[in-house]
Parts: sequence; C-alpha cells; structure tokens
Amino acid sequence: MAELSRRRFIAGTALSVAAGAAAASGIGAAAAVPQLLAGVGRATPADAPDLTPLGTDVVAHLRDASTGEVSVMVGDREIVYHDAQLASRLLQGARRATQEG
Amino acid sequence: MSSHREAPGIAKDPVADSTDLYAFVSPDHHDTVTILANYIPLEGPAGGPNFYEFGDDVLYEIVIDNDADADADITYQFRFKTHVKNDKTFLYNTGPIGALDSSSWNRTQTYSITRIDEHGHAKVIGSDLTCPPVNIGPRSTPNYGALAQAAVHTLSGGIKVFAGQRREGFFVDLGSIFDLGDLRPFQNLHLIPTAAAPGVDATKDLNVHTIAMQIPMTSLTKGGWKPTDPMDPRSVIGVYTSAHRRKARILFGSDDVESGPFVQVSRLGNPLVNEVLIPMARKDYWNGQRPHHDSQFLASYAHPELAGLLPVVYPGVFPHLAAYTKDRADLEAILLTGIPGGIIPGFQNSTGSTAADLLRLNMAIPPSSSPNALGILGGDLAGFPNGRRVKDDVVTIEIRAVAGLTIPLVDPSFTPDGAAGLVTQGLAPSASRYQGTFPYLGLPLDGFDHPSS
Repeated sequence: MAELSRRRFIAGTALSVAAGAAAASGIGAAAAVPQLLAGVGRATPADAPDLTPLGTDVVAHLRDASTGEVSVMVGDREIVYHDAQLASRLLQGARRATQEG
Repeated sequence: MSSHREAPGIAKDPVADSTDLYAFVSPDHHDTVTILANYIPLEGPAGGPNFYEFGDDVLYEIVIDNDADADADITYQFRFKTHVKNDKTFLYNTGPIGALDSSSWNRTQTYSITRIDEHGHAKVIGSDLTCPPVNIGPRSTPNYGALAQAAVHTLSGGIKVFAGQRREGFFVDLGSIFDLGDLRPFQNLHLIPTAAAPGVDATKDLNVHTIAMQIPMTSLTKGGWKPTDPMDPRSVIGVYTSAHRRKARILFGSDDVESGPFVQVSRLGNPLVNEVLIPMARKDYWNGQRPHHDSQFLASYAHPELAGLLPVVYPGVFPHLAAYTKDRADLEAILLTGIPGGIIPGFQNSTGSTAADLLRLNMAIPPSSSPNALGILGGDLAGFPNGRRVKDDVVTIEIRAVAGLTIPLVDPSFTPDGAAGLVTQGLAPSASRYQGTFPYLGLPLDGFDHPSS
C-alpha cells in the first residue's frame, strides 16, 4: 500500500472507530465531529505503526495466552509484558496455522 | 565421566558441554593460579572434514567467588568467532599449516575475553585472540607444538590464556563403572561376579577443547591481597565454569536467528557431582542453576544413591557403610561448603556456609614437590579436593569418599570398611597426556596416527 493511501486508510479507520465510540457514549454528532477532526490531525503520526527495522531480529513468545503475557527478545535483552490484544491476534494467527496445517 | 555427557540434554549439545574443570597453583609459577575449563567430550582425533571447534553461539564463562558468599565476584567471559577464508572449498586446510596466519588454513577461530567484576562492570581484556588449529596429521600440521605454543597469549596484568584443542587428561574406567557399578579390583565380589582384570582407560586416546587461564593470585583475591596463610579465609577461592545459549533460536537452514538473554545450559565445579550424585530427572535442571542455589540439591549429597548401592552390589563388602544412616556431612563439606579449619591440620578451604558446588582452592598451599594423585586422601594438601590438578585421580578419590572413607573427618565414631580405602581404578595415565608448563594438558593426538590399529 502506498504511503499516502495507507495514511488515508489509518485516518479513515480512526475516524470511524472514534465516531462509533462517540456515538456509543451518547455524544452528539455535531459536537463530536470537530473533536474527531482535531484528534485525527494530532493522532495520526503518533498512532501510525512504526515499522522502522531495528537492524536486528526480534522474537516474540506468547508465554501465557490466558493472561496476554508476551515475551519480546531482542539482542541479549528480554522484556515481558501483558497485551491481551496482541495475544489475541497471535492466537488468531496460530489457529489459522493449525487449520491450514 | 567427570562431567562428559553427564545429563541427557547437554549430552546432545557437546559444544556447550563442560567436561572437566581444573584449578591449581601453577607448579612453575607459584604466584599464579591456573584454571582449565574443558568442553566438547570424547573428541576422536580424526575429526575431519569438520573438525571440532568452540561454539560461536555459546557464551563460555569461568566464575570466581573470592569473598565466601558462593556468588560471582569475577567472571571471565569467552566468545568465539569462526572465520572462513575460502568459501569455495570443503577443506579445513588447503596445504600445510605452518603458522597461525597461514593462508592454507581455511577455517580459523578467534576469541575475546571480557572480565566482569562484582559490581557488574565489564571490561574487554583480550580480543582477536587466535586459537590453534586442531592436530590433523604430519602433512597438515607438521609442527603442531609450535602452532599450539603460538596460541598462548599474554594479556595485560600478566594473565596467560589459551583456547584450543588439547589431549584429554581425565582418566576413567568408564565401561566398568557403568556396568552396574563394577569396581574392577572387587569384580569377583560383585553380585554378578566376573574374573579379575586390569582397569581399562576409556579416554586415553581422546582430545578435548580447553579454555585455559593463568592468573596472578593478586588478581583473584579481593583487594589484590597476596595469600600466604592457609588458615586465612581470604586465601580460598571458589571456581566454576558455565556455558550459556541464547534463549530463542529459529532455524532457517542457514543464517539462523538467535535472540534474547543467555541461558545457562551447563556448569561444572567439582568432578562427578552431576554425573553421580544428581538424579537423572534433575541433571539438566541442575546444569541450569547457579551454584549459589545448590541447597535445593542437598538431599542428593546427604544420602547419595551410590552409597546405598555399593553394599547391595557388593554383599558383605561394605557393612559399615550399609549401617550408616546419618546425613553425609563429610560430602556436604567437601563438595558444597569446603573443609573448615580444625579438621585437617594446617588446612581449610571453606567458602562459608552457603551450599554451592564450587571447586575450592586454598591458594596459600604451595604446589607439592611430590604430588600424590589421591590428593588430600593421599596426604597431599595441594591436590583434590583442594582445587584439582590435571593428574589427580578424582574417580578413585570420590568413590572412596562415597564409600565412607571420609566420614571420620566429621564423625570420628565411624570406622570405614576396609574396602573403602582399597578401591581404585587401577589406572596410571601415560605421561604424554600432560606437560609441565601452561596449559599443562598435553598436545592433542593427531588424527593421522590415532587411533592406531
């Protein structure tokens, strides 16, 4: 995906998700739209996935799916943290792999 | 064997498998200590075309405790790097290797050494140090002694180092011992008796890879103190070696990915401990533990399985041992804390109360002018278990100890069985396995002539 279209996609997605959230929370559309537009302008660069390579391999290990415990290893370091959404996406991929296998 | 292939997991990873550890006051330089950490068990001399070498992907360590807390105060880390000069040939060498920089030597290894102090401060003390080639034969390595000697490097501070292939110095009647505990001098008394026969040295024609250091004592003690009084606790150091691999490895066939912190996969302090005392199901776990945490294995020292087996396989030969039910405080002291003062006149090698499998050396005990291979059991305070020299018969010493010979050190009411002081491997290794100067293990056997037909 070209950079321009990728940014548009992200902005569009953020807008639609935020709009959904705003609607669900009962905020009026008229009030929400200016906030969303302002938010898009600030949020896009920070929220865009930073896929700049580190120059070394990164290995992730889903240590405990039930708690979302993920271990990330790079160089001679390891960090363990909890990310239920990442764990869920990894499990999704794992299930796909077992189905395809 | 001492620690060759001693655990099911590490037996499949020879490059990271520590086989023997030696630590002794250098017989020709009394103000230094020599430490040898051997890896890669049972190297057949004819190892081509892919000869034995250290692992680029293994972190090797020699660890020193010098303040009696059974924890690391000085750590020497070794990292190796393999270089291939010509990737178009399958050959290790394309002509005679006459020097360490020979263009005919296609596959070479260099290494670096990093010293880490008790505060975690790391300093590289040697880099791009050359290993010698393996000993191939008269055409490829015609003057091997000179090649090996050229690979002895002197670092700042007067530290000598060597890393490369040497002759296996450890001797053992391996086939006999693991044939249901057959001790050849008593084999006619075994539950399944066989005819008397001399011992068989299972390792006499093998090589090993040695990481050797000769270090001034003042660089090993806390505060640069010079050990002179054997009864001074500062005279004692505890030593162990360990090997580590990266936590994660992903295989691609080539250019594999390794990542994450190093994880300990092998360690060695005293010979034969993991081999004989630790149950099979815990051996690889033991290898992954730091000595500082060895109190968890105390039961294996207090009631060694072998001590229970001897009276069974030799009915009537070890009646006193069979009747002894107390904890083996002698083995705990010798192997886990060191021998405290007041037990052997003029001697101690205690490193405090923390149970840890360390090879303990009292550096104030000078080398013996007439070494006894039975070490302290033979009245020679400069030998095992005060450190370990290359010629010490650690198998006989430890079998005798397990058989009860050392119980009176801590329990004078016990009288050892007569057999405990007689059991021996019956082996006398050839002098060619050793040399009188650093690194003290002899030149490796070449693959052209060994094994001879």
